[in-house]
Amino acid sequence: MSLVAGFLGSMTGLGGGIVIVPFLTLAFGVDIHYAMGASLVSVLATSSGSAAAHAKSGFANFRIGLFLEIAATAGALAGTLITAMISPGLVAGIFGLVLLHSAYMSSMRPPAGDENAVPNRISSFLRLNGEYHSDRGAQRYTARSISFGFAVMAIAGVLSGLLGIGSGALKVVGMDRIMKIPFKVSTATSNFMIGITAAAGAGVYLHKGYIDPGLSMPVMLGVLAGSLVGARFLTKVKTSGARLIFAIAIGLIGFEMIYKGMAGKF
Amino acid sequence: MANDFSERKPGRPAQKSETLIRRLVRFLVMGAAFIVAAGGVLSFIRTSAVSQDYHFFKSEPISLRSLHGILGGAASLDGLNLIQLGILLLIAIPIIRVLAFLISYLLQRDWMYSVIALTVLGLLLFSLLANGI
Repeated sequence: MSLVAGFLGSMTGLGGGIVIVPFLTLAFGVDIHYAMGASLVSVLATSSGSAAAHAKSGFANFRIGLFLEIAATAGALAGTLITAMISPGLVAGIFGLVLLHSAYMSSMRPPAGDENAVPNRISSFLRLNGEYHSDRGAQRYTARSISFGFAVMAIAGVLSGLLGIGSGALKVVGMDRIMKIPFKVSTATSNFMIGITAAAGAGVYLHKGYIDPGLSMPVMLGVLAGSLVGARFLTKVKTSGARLIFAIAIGLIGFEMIYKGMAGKF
Repeated sequence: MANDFSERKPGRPAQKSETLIRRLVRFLVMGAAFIVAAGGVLSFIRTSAVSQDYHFFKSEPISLRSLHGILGGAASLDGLNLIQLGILLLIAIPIIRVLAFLISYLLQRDWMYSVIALTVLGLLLFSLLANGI
């Protein structure tokens, strides 16, 4: 059962974490902390699995990724502190809200980055630029709104540590919309980043005993298997019809988590 | 690999290191998967405590959540501990990746990004090693 969850997770393109926690808690009644542990393991598997499987990850910009990860990793550590201090019902409620937000975001078309952005002082100083090969030849790009982007990454990190998710979607939005980094670079870099953020969260989760081997094993293996196969299907499934159905489904799950969280069923 | 993002030299050294890193990651991922799978199989064979009650959260036993405990249990080929070891390795992979970048930046004398990579590495190690939280 967790194998299916992991496989599905890596195919939906949301990084899997956002799917696994609700699936385990709502469908199987697993305690949310165990679910969060398994979910974070799945994020690690997604990130490292796709890094190992892809022949070229030429689009990821590691300088941008590492720099932003300072914010995200610090955020993740803070997030784990928070999650230990609040009630499980509240965690579930927050999770539900994030799901609703995800549902809203995924019902929209992927945004286009600004490829003519002019570098500002900070991005030049930090060399947050690069180029990639596209059909039109080498494309150069750079990053803008650095501080805003940094702040968004910090929030993404907190959510990651707090809920056991990868926050990949939020990171892509931060880089693509706010920092004006081209979409392909944003998604590839995000994949690199979520692994690091998840590792930070997972270290703490492990110490707190959230990670259970029996639960995590099938999830991890399922996701790894999925990232070998799923990555190829992924880019072909993005029709607007499927996206809408998907968004509605996620939205419903979000509501259910909020309701159950408030009703103290966690 | 078609692209290199180092602005210092659009050339060989950085490209080689990125390919090396990727090979290392691939190796580690397979290793982690193998260990976890082996642990899974072993725990089914021995049927130690596989059917667990996941409905309530009582924290995992010390042997499954401390580094010391995991290594000790893994050495005696306990299935569950082996799985945890594999997971630990999985957690370590991004950490090793950052470490590889740090080394690469140091070798390129890129001090600014050495510091950045070091900061991220420091945060990661803190999470993994500090028990106090």
